[in-house]
Amino acid sequence: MADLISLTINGRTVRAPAGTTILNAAHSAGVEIPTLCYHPNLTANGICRLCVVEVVGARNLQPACVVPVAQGMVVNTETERVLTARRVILELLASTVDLSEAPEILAYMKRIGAQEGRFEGGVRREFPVAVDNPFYIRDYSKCVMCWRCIQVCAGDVQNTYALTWGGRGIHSHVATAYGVPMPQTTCVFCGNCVGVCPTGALKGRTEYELTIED
Amino acid sequence: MDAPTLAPTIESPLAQERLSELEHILAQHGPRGQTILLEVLHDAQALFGGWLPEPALRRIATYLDVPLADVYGVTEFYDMFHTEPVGRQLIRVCVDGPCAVRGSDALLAALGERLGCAPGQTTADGAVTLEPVRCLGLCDRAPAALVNSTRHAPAAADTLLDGSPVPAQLKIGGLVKVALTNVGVVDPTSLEDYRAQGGMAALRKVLREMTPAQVIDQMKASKLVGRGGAAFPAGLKWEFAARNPRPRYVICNADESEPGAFKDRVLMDGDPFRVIEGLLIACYATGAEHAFVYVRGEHRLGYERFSEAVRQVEQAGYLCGESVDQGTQERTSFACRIEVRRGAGAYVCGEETALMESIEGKRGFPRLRPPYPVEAGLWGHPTVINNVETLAKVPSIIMHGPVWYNALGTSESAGTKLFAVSGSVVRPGVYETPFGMPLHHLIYDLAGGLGEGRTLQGVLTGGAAGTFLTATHLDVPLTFEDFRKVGGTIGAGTIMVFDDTVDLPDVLARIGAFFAHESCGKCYPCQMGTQRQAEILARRARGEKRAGDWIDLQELAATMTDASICGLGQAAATAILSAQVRWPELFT
Amino acid sequence: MQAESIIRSTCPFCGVGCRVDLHVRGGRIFRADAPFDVAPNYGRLCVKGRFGWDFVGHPTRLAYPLVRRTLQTPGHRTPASGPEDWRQVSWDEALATVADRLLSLADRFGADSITANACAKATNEDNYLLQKYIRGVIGTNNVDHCARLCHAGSVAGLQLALGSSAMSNSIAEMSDLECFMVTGSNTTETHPVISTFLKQAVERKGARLIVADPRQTEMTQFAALWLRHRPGTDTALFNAMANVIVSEGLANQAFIAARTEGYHAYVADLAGKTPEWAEQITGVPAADIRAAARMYAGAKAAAIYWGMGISQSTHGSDNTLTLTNLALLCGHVGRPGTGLNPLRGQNNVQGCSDSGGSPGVYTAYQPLTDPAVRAKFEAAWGATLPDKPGLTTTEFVDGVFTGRVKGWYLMGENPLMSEPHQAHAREAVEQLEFLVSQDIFFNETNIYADVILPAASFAEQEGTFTNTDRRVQRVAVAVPPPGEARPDWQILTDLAHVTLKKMGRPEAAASWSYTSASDVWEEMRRLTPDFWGIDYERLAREHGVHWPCPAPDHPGTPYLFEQEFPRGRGKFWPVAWKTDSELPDDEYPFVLSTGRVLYHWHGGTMTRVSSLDAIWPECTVELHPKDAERLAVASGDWVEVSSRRGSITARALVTGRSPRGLVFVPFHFAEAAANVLTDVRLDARAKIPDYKVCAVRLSRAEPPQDRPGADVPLIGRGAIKDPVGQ
Repeated sequence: MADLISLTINGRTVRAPAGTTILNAAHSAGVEIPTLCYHPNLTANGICRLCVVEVVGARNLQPACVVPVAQGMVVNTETERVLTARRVILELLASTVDLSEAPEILAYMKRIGAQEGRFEGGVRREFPVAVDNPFYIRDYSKCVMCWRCIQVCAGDVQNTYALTWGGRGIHSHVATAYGVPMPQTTCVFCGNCVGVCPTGALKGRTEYELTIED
Repeated sequence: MDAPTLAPTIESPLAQERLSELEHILAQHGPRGQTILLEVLHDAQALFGGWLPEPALRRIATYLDVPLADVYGVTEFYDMFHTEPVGRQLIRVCVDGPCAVRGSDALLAALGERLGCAPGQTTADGAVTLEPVRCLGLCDRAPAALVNSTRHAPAAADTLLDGSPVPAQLKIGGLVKVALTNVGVVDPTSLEDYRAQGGMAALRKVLREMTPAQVIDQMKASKLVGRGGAAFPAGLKWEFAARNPRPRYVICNADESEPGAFKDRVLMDGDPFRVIEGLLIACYATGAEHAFVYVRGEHRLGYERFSEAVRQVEQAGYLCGESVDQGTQERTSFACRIEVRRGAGAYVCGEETALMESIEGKRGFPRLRPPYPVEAGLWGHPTVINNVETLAKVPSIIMHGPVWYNALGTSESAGTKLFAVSGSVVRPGVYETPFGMPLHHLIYDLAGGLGEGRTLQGVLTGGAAGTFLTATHLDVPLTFEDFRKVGGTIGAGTIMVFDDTVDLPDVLARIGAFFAHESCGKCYPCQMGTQRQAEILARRARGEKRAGDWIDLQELAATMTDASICGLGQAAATAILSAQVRWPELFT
Repeated sequence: MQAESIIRSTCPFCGVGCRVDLHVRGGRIFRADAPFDVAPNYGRLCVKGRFGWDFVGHPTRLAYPLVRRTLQTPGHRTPASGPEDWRQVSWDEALATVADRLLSLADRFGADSITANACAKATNEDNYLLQKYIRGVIGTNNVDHCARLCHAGSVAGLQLALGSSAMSNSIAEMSDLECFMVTGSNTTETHPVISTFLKQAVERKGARLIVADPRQTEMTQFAALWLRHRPGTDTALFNAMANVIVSEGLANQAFIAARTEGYHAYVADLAGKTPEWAEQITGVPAADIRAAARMYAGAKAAAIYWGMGISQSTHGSDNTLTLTNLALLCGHVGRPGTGLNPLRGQNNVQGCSDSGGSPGVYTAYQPLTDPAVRAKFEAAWGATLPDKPGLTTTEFVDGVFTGRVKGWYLMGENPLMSEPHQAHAREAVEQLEFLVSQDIFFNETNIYADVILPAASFAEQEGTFTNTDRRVQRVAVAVPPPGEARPDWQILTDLAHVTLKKMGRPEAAASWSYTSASDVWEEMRRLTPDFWGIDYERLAREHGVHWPCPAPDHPGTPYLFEQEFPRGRGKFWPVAWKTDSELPDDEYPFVLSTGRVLYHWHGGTMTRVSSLDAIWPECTVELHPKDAERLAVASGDWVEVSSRRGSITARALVTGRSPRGLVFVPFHFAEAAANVLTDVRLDARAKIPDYKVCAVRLSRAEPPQDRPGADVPLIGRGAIKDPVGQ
């Protein structure tokens, strides 16, 4: 078969077409690599680095969601370097953001032995919940800055460009121009952002009101 | 000229006047799309008294056909853009290492007291905004400050608020001046003067006597490596780019923002034509027809010097011409356009891929690599990015040949290097020496050593992303290979000296704060890791130590080094880890 | 929040047919998501599909059968919706009343005195049974649906040119387009999810887009060429493009020779219809017309997408023919990335007509005038079937005035908001002897009715919808219907039994023994070769199938006409430049165009009670800045818009989106109903009204006394704003 690359993942030989990412090649071989910012329908940016794996010969850990397979590549997905990085990234995340509505992340953290309460006492993402339109709320205290909402609103789906990044570094947040409420932006309330938010930072208003009722 | 703080509504006549002046600015730049955004924002911001009101941003967005949200997102990324009113006077005081050593904290406090507003805020009458900022690249004249775009270095509260700046004395020196040849000698605003000193002869030689391939061969033979810190062989970089399809670009990286770094500043202020000449030779060699000089936004003078140099060079006809192959008599036409672009306050934009994002008019988020810039750079096209000093070396190499250049330095570290020495030395300045001179020559001979009665505590080489050496390393030759052996970094040649009066934990805390401030926020390890690192170091500098601190710092370091997207995150813990090696007691 | 159940269904709003997953808890929907790996939308939704399902649980849902307390008589009908006017009755009583009244009309005036509206929002099964009841039980072919008011112009044109009338190519092809034209379609507001694929084709694949529209729709931002022609001048524009294609030798001669007829007569007719000629009429520069023609003809594959701007006109069928001519000229049909693609409006308008909801055909357009076809249905239904095509909905209204029509069966339709010339339509309704409405809410029409039968919404029944690209997809029960409301197919089944018993036709009742929606589909597919390959099991497995699908192992047909057209060869039709529209004059100097806004749906029945209303709560009269200046009107000022037929009062939205001389009013708002103003002129072939052009005048007005929200500034109310700037 033309264009099939042969590589090794965790000691097993895997074949995948040229252009396949390590993440997808691993998945096809039954090896699951954790992800957070990655979404199959959106551009992968290698942001969260949760999916990093060790590739023999590469100096740094490689993000599996964006790196394509190469002939003869040797990949190890659960080395100590990898597990440390994943664990610390999640410990950092938990110290910064409210993950209470991201059960998959919390479960994974338990599984890899993440230390609860590590790095606490520093800057956290704390925002009042923005309830500025009839359809969805923005609870940026839960935002992990995965970029999905910004991308879905931009060229990945809507081409509406209502959202952008505010600030820089840990102070990065999803923003509208001049912080105006959503109805004053180009937002058409398609909710495609809500549909891709992994942590409940974006939620339908009905669901939100029911949740706070509970 | 009065630039009142205004929140222009459509009714305000002053607002209308400003908005129609904005049209002139836009028309001057032309509807070039997103790439020209930062330049437009700079000019518009100056028009509106130091900030960008919503109607202005909206108009800019429409004119350049960029979504308003994206334009706003750009203003949010760069320190120099404001979307809320600022004072007529914007006072920026540097708080990084070399300035801290020379009393920047006290300066900031004094200013705050006199102005009656806290750092980071504006006075009640709206006249003055006082901002602590990261390294301004004026470490040789610490403590440094900017009042709007005017340098005050060394700065004192009196002269800052009342009078004009104290005239600065440039301290340069060194045994062999290659890049520094003309600095202090030539009029940096005169092409004629530059030519009179032998300038543009290298370009002429290249066009008359050499093919692009021959130029590349010379550069490779010279073993010139990048002077921006990464030390990649320049000739190889040009060769890789030249192999890939047109169009190709060359960028001069003049974004120097590393704490303790100011050598590029000296070159762009003092001999911009040399850099431009090197840039044109690079364009010729790589077949690039469009080049950029990307100057950090805080260097107003450097921007003006480069702009003027490009203007004169263009007027004199150097940007196009013809070269003739001496062997085949084949004529190749040479045409190049140079644009000088300003950054806007983001250290990360010194990283190659973030720099390109910035030239494209976007937030400076680094890109994933591969692909590398020589393969896919600006707008996906092959792009060479070279540091100011690298390009400044090129004319000499062409004129004197690679053998001459190799003779300076060692077999593994060819040529000369500009070293920026600052901190607890008597004569902070830029010193050029061939590779191989020992460290003590730089610190004690050229920079005058320490103050009376002071002893050396440590030397941070390679900037905030570098490593510490101690008095035991004073004999180590300044070469890549020798420094590597002792766990040191040459980097871009930044040398920060700390005597016994300096509080090292405070230095570390400032390094931590620097990276946290400059992190672009894209990848998780750096965005959050630099913040937590900074918090731990700051707390420890205040005297609050916790048992888990070192293991936390180690794991943060490992994660950032292993998993960050770019060099900023990958190097953010380097100095910290190095400090632990030198002074383990600081981390218990 | 954890869902107790997640039900996969299909959105009830537009013709894109997005798959949605409804999250249910405690018997209520609380969230709608879309599966990321399922066609046609792959996770994408618009505001209506994502958030507009809240009409389902609204407290004003019709939940019980109702009968008017006071007998309503012709000429004396009054509107009412309160409990003092309506009596809640049992289903038995309600159905018996309906049957009695219908049979009485049939006895006295003949079955043809009864008309019925099938429902483009109800399922295929609902519609199949509606038309089966009307034809097979009552005995008339007077069944039609709102496509008459929507794409009838397109359908008529496509039938003449090709013998078929559905969108020829699929949504899946949109992401890879090379070149396409969008005309008379404000796609980002009417088919938002489709527009995302089209936008991406431009941004990511470099597709070249031609937009032909008098209004500055969002699609113009993505266009390589925007032809801003004057309203109603479409045939001149497209004929001129054809003229260029022919005269510059860009026509696909091989295709013309192999697959078409009538070319020479057509070409002869094109002489004189030059770009310069068209520039005079349309206002579009000749150079742009040439560029558009070359762009379309020069592409290897090019597609045309259109909407109401083409169809809803006195020359809607002519407009369509000028488009079919272009596609046939260039061979841009029958291959991926090409096609003639009317974007169907309603979630199941395609399905409604596929299910026989039109006066002249049974399911999948099998003509009732064909004796063999009719015989097949007669055998299946146990009935003798009427053999002449019935009336169209626009003729229903006229039929009341001529005395031909006495009774009207409304299934999910609101003619007083959707028919043109509301006063005329209201008068007709008032003249009816009997009016029954099967619906989910009270609306502006059924408040005049005699009997109300409460129906289940899309989320409360099993069934199928067919979207614009002929994809049959499932809807399913997510929540129980309110009170005693029932699925339409169930109501009709029950009504059929009651009626047949009264008629003394127990043997026909055997053909009405449905216990599930699936039973209904099974009967439909047995009688419809084009549907035979589709059943509920396959729909569950494959999520949707494009018909024609003649066999269970047939993959379905994403794009049509690969080999031939249903009529054999595609036919070129010469189209003369003319207009029968009501043009502006000194007295009524503006052109009124009506249409939609993103957030609302048609007559507003579903959306005015939804959270959707909060984001666009009132009717806005779109007006060009220069026109506004002359009238001394600013955004937010009240204006009266009047035509020869009536007036409405609403607030002006001054924007450069509409061209000078054109006023745009959406038709969702009962308190300022656009159809008060529109005219009854029809396309002669299609019988579709001219919603896009009639003559009005504007003047400043006093704020109305009774208008909620009148004290809130217009700009910034919800998301109301100038969409393009001045």
